[in-house]
Parts: sequence; structure tokens; C-alpha cells
Amino acid sequence: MKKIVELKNVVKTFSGAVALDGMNLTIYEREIRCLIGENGCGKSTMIKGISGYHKFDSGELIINGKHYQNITPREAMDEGIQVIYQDFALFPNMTVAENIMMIDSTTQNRRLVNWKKMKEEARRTLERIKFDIDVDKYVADLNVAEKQMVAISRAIAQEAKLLIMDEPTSALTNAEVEKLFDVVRELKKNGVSVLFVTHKLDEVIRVSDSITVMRNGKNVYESNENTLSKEDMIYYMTGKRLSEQRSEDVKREGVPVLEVRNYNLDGAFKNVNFSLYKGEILGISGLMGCGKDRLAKALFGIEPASSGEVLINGKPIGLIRRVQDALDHNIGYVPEDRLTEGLHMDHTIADNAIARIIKQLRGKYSLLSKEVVRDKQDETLSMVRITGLRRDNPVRTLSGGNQQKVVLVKWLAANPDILILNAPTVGVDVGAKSEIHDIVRDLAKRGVSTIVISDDIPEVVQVCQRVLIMENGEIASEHLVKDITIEQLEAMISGKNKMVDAQ
Amino acid sequence: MKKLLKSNELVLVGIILILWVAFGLVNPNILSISNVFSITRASIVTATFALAAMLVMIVGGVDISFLAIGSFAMYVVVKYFVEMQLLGASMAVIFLAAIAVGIVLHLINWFFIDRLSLPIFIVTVGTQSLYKGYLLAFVGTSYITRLPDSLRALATRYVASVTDQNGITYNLHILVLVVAVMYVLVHLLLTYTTLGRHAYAIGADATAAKRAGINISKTRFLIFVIAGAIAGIAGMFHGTLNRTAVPADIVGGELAVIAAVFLGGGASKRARGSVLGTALGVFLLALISNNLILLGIPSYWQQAVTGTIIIIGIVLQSLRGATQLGKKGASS
Repeated sequence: MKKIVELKNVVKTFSGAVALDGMNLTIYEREIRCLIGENGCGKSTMIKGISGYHKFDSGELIINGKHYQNITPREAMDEGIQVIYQDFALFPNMTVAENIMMIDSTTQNRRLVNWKKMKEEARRTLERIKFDIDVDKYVADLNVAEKQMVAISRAIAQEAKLLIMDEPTSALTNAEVEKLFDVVRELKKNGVSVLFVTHKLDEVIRVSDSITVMRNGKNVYESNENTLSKEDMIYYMTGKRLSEQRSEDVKREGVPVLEVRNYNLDGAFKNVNFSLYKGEILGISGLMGCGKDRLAKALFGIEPASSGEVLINGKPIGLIRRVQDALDHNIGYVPEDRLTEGLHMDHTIADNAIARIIKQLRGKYSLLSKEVVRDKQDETLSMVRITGLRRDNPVRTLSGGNQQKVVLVKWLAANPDILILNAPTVGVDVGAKSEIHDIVRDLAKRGVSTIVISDDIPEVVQVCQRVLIMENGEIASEHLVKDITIEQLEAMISGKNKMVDAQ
Repeated sequence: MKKLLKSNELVLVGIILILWVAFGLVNPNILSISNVFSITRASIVTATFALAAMLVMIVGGVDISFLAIGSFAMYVVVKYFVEMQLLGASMAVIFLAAIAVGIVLHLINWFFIDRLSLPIFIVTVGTQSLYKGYLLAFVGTSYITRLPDSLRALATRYVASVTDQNGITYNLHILVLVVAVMYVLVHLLLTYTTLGRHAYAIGADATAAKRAGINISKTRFLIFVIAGAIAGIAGMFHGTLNRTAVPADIVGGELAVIAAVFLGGGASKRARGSVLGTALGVFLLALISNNLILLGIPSYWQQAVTGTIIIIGIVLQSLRGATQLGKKGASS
């Protein structure tokens, strides 16, 4: 088969920090190659190198049989290499047609715009990926999936031979992912190769013809077949065998730290009763819309329940009506959407780490002492390992997994008695995920009681000791994790009937 | 065209019609052709400057220096021709000189913005003051009342006139037509040339534009050349209609012009500056400021009314944007 792109022993450093360390990669004609690796392993650097935005320090870059020392973005485009960035790089103030044909007009140095011809060509391009949309629509009015299709159309309008997609599914719903896969396969039929960059392993198994795994700036696995198991993928990505670790069970005796009685919120959940004991990690799982997410928010007072009662260490406190109520009882909450709810993205890592406890650090006249703040920041940050940690960098510069660790640290600084984690590892890669799980287990050993709201069943089984399954707003069943397998739990949540038969 | 009318421009037309009818109910004179003539004459200078401000807004920033550039170009050129005893110089030569000065001054802005990667707003806040200061310090502060002959003739060149029942004659100034032609030309430039489309692309997302292979420096250079030329022309219009060259008398009025561009959709994510919208925005603001006097409303109320209309217009735009966002949220 013909090689489209070949990288041989490529090295790239940024002011001393090695991003690519002898990377090899070959992409053949008409193949869907998945490139997987943890955040920060050098995937983006490599893409930028191939597309002409970074210059490799050493090594060879061969495109369509031609050696390039210092490829420019224009040359890469002329060789048929197109990148679909995560932000799509579209123009919201322009129509679908104009976005699709924009690069065309620049590469051909046209001076005038022929709107009629442009629309026709845009329609023809959309037909090639069998995507139906009004070409006169403004891109600002499209949803994420539609924007992605426009970006793909724009790429193939350039006669792309290789389409590089950087984490293309991160903002898509399941149905939209299906559609994307269909388009990717359609592209392959049309003779286009796709480099599919992702860290979602299920997708790799489903869509790829061949797999390359990256770790620490080089390829640690490369195959022209799609035969790697999920466990092996994780092994190559992290360099570790992730054990099927489970949390040790705890004794549930005495007065529960938290007891929830008859909690109700119209349209969200009803008649919720449960207890949480000291040092226990309790999972709450269920399908989308089962009410677990809103229960979590109600327990932290973000969207309070309408009736019911909460007891803290056996003492009734009524409803948790406001976030302040929850904070007063030393309850911590790590939200699902850390971008908008959990972190101040443009502030430093150190400042974020102590954001929860800044009031406690006030000294004389309510002023803050630089030394006190600094010491507390260092102390707080030392609680978890964050790779590439530079305390004074903005949080934005961290990868998703590391951002999530900063959110955790922020709450740990306040020494909560009860911690509610809402989907703690969504969008986090495998390595960081297992580190976050370790942190949660460690907290439990230190006596923190934790509620993990998650629909990631393996996560629930690995971290929690007990799990509640919610269905239509009610708690349908309760299980001890030591008595149950992942498969049983999955079956109960998705296809309940099977379980009834089994019993 | 259909696309344009569906959006913000239609809202503006609506506001203009409602206000006009409302004003007309109070004072029927406002509906007269003569009043239209006087509103358009009063809008000539603002409309021309608005075009210059709009072009810069399209490439992604708010320019504060266009009035200083226009003033500088007009005063320097008039002073030169008057002091050199060139009162008979042809109109074309005088205007070309002003255009050249306007281009040079705007390219100084471009240098800081493009070569030193500074934000347009911040650079032009600086150069506005700089140009005004240099003009007053080094060129002169005196009023020049004897303009070159061709400009004096231009000041009273009309294409149509109407006489009302009191025997007062109202004239449609020729520059109204010149401005209309300029608007059409800029519209064609922005809609049917690659340069125009690239300008919109850069304003929307400079990084994406670079990735699409657009030469940002070159596009912005050309846009600044055109905007500088238009600012120079606008300055000459101002001096001509005033029949006096006053240095930097209009500097400080930038926000009213920028408001007109905002009203015209300059601030909306979808359009970022449309020619028709800008024209309507200018007309709307002129309609208010000219007619409140006729309605007997005290002048200090004018600013409050103008401000209210600007806020209403921009809120309407953003509400339309907000519903779009809502839709997006629901479907994803």
C-alpha cells in the first residue's frame, strides 16, 4: 500500500522540554488509523508538525514520497493534509457555503467571489459525505455536530488525502458519534485516509483499521491491524497494568455521617432515603435522566429539594436549601462541568487550590499575608501529584485530568467531612482517572465520607463500596460492590429484565 | 439581499419607521421631503466616517482615531493649499491630497497593530490623541475661513430642491449622492471580492483565518488603506460643508459614529459590520438628533434619548443572538 505520511525518529523540544522523542508513524492510503495516548504525550505537537505549524528539531518527515525539512502550512495543505481542530476553526459570521469554500478561494488566489458557483460547489461537497444542510445557514446558528460536518466538508473540498481529526468526539452525543463514524467510513471509501486522535478506547476498537499508541513523545505500539485489547491499550498508554483494584469494604455501624430521609424534588427525584457512614464511598448510578445528577445538586443546595430531611451525625438539619448550608456542615462538591462550575481557568493553579479556604487565611485586620497564602498553597498542592505542575501557571494550561485534580485539591484544602463527586472523571484520560481514584480511596481511609455520582460502571465498581441505582427519580436497588460484578451492574442499569430473570 | 433584510436591518427599518411616524404625529413637518433633505445633509459627514469605522470593525477591532485622521488630513491639506496661494486648485487634487494623508496616518495604526501585534482599540486611543496633538502643536490652531474655490463651490452644489409653503427652499446636497455611491462601492467590495470576505474572516477568528491560508497582514493593510482614504474624504466633506477649516473640532465625537456602526450590526456575531446596517444606523441617530429639536424637546434630553435607542438596538441584537444560543444548547 502507498504511504501518505511517514515520520521517522522525529524529535521536538520546547525550551528544553521534550515533546517528541523519536516518534515514528506511518499512515497508508485509505486507512483509518487511530492515534491514542494520554493528554500531554505529544499528540498535538506531532499534528502541528505534520501540518506545518511546528518545525521538528530532527528526524524525517516524508509526505507522498517527498522529503520535507521545514514544511509550511500551505505546503501541507497542497499535499492534501487537512486538520480538523477541536474548535473547528470556522467563521461564525459566514454561511455554511462560504466556510466550506474559504480555503479554496485563498489557495487559488481569486479576487472576486462568485456566490452562485460557491454554493453549488459547497452542496456538491456536502453530498460527498451525505450530509444534508442548508448552505445559506450561518455557522453561528449550527450545533457542534453540524459545525464538525462543515469543517470536514471544508477539508474534503481541498481534495484532502489525509484528514487529521483531533479528539473529534469530545463534544458529541452518542448518536452524533455514530454519524461521524459513518462519515469517516464514507471518506475512506472515497480514498481519504483518516488519522483519528482520541483517548476514548471504545471508539478506537469500533472505528480503526490500524492503531498507533503514543507515550512520552514516541510510538510505543504500532500495528496495521485493529487487534489490540482495551487492557493492552491502557498498558501501552500508561506503561502500567491497571489492576482491577477495588476499595476495601468498611464497617457501617453507629450513627451515619449523613442520612437523607424522604428527599423529594418534583420532576427530578422522589422519596430518596439513604445513609452514608464514616469513611465510606457510596456510588449513585443510573441512566441519563434518572435523577442522580439533580440529587447531587440538591444535596449541595445548588438546586434544593422541595421536601425531606437531612441528618448530619444524627442531628436533623432540615433541608439543605442553599450552598452555604452545605458548606456550614462541611460538605464539599466537585461539579461535573469543571470549566464553568469548578475552576477559575485564567487564575493560577496555586490560587485555585486555596480558593475555598481563602477566608480562613485572613490575619490581622482581615488582610492576607503573602507568606501564609504561599505556604498554604504549597501544602495544598502537595496533596496530589500533578504532572507538569507550575504553581503560577493558569489552570487553563493543564490537561483535563490535571484540572480535575486541582478541583479535588481545592476541596481537600477545606478538609470536608462529606465529599460529593459528580461525574469525577468525565473527559479525563485513563492514567489521570486511576490517579483520581487513588486520591478518593486515600481520602476515605482518612475518614472522609464520599458520594460518587457516576454512570461509568467500572469506575463505580473500582472506587465504591456500596452503590445505589436510581431509576425514574427513585432508588431502585442497593448493592454491596464486593458481591457484584461490572457485568451484573451494567445489566441492571441498562436491561433490568435480565437481572430479574436471573434472580 | 433577502438574507440581509431578514436580520438586524429589518429591525432598524422598523424602529426608524415607528419613530418617524411618532414624530410626525406630533409635528407633521417632520414627514416632509424638506426634512428628509436636511437629515441627509446632516448625516453626510457621520455617514462617511461610519464607513471608515465599520471597515476596521470588520477586521476585528474598534477604531477610535478616524475623526482625528479625517481632521488632520483636512486641515493640513486646506492649510497647504491656502498658504501656498493655490486657491484655484482642482477639487480632485485637493481630495487626493487628503486621501493620501488619511492613508499614511491609518497605516501608522496598521504598523503598530500588525507588526507589533497590539490591539486596534488601544493603538487608536493613543494615535487619536497623538494626531490631534501634533495637528494643534505643529500645524496650527487658527480657523481658515477662506477655503479653496472648488470647495466653496462644492459646499452649495445641489441636485434637487424643494420649496415649502413658507417660501423656504430645501436642497438635496450632491454629497448625499456621493456618499451613497461610496456605500454601494464598499458593499460590493465586501460582498464580492475575496479581500472583503477575508476581512470578515479575520474579524471573526484570526487564528482560523491564518489556518485557512489567509494573509492577515496584507488583508488588514488593504483595509486600513481604504479606511484611511475614506476618513480623509470624510474630513474634507466636513470642512467643505462647514465652509471653514477648524483643526480637530470633531475629535471627541467618535463614540456617536461607533454607536451607529454598532446599531447597524457591527457588534453582532453574525454580521460584524454590514453596509446597509451602518447606513440605517447613521440615519436613525440623525433622525433622532435632528428632530427632537423640532419636537421642542430640550437639548439635554437628546443624549438620553439617543442613548436609550442605542441600548434598545443593541439589546435587540443580543436577544436574537441569545435565542440562537438557546437553540444550540438544546440540540447538543
